[in-house]
Amino acid sequence: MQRKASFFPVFLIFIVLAILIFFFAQKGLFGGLTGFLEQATVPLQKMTFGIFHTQGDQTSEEKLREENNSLLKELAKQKGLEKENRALHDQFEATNPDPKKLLPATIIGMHDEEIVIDKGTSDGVKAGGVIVYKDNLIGRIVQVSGHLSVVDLVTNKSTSFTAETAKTSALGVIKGQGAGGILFDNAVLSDKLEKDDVVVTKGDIDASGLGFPPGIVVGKIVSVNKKASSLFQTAEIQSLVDFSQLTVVFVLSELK
Amino acid sequence: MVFLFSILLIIFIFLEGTVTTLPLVLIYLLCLTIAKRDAVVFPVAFGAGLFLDLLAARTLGLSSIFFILFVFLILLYQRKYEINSYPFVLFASFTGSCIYSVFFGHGGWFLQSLINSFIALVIFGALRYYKKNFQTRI
Repeated sequence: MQRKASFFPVFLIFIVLAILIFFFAQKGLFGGLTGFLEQATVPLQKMTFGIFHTQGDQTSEEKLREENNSLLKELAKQKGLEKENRALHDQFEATNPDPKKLLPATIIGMHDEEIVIDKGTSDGVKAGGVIVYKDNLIGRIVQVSGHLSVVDLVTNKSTSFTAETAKTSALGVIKGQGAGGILFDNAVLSDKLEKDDVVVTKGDIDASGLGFPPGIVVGKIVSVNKKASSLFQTAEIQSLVDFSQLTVVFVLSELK
Repeated sequence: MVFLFSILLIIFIFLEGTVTTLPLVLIYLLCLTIAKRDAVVFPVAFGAGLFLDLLAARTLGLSSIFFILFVFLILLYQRKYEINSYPFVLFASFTGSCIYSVFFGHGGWFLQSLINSFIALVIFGALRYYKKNFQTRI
């Protein structure tokens, strides 16, 4: 009983303090203070991440894979141009969206299906923004603070958006599967899904200009699961980017 | 010893805040609570939680609340049972890691908890060895 009396008041003080900080932080009242502290800790985080995150040397097989991936992207781009050409024939005036603005960001933290980047609200980054690397989709910003942002990778289970295949224009929904898996789901049986076909975003931008722009490469189809008894067919997608090798990514700002 | 504990805490916070989802700070606090067995662990849990939230870009205070409650439960438990034992460290680190991983939405919670329990046992063993051989209060 004596021991309880000695630690219980201290417990109460600190738990109340922690709850109060959590409450005020949720209301955004510590924005300035956390921003200042983050500025101080970001270099240390970069250093820690650099020590424990070493990039391996590329083998010839990896180089060939990369070359193959870039060729697949070229093919997807060509298909896209063909479609665009057809569309231009149909209408005289085409509205061009404003050029995409890319903000380079360094990865300073990487957990299983999310990354932390060194850009936050002070750099104009907003929750819902999209992260890309060389036209490849990396993920979506889910949380922003003064100088940091948390990004859910496209493989994260919370990720879901519409996409289409570049070659056959089959529509479907991309769902993160966790552990590096991506599923192209809800594709109707009448659509054709082909192995090695590139899957790109369909475009899902909200009124504030945030969201997935069209034509960003999600990955390529590695296997197709089609059953006559099912309503939809699915395909397993593999990203063309090895997320674990990334150190720099780009934030796609508002597309207004 | 205090210096060694402080360095270890800083390393664990930076590792957990940048490269791993293993709840290293949680097992650190578990071992510290077993070693100290008094209220001094609460401010450490509070500070470590805030620092970790800052690095992991979480809402400030969330980890502190979890850590303080975890330490509180261990201190409550030690009033009736012996906590300075390997089975308790195994049980507490595994259960704590499971809840922590699920609470913060980390994947592979079972494997992570197993690895974390192993690390906790190693740290606890090292602490015991130090205490036995150098006969000092940690």
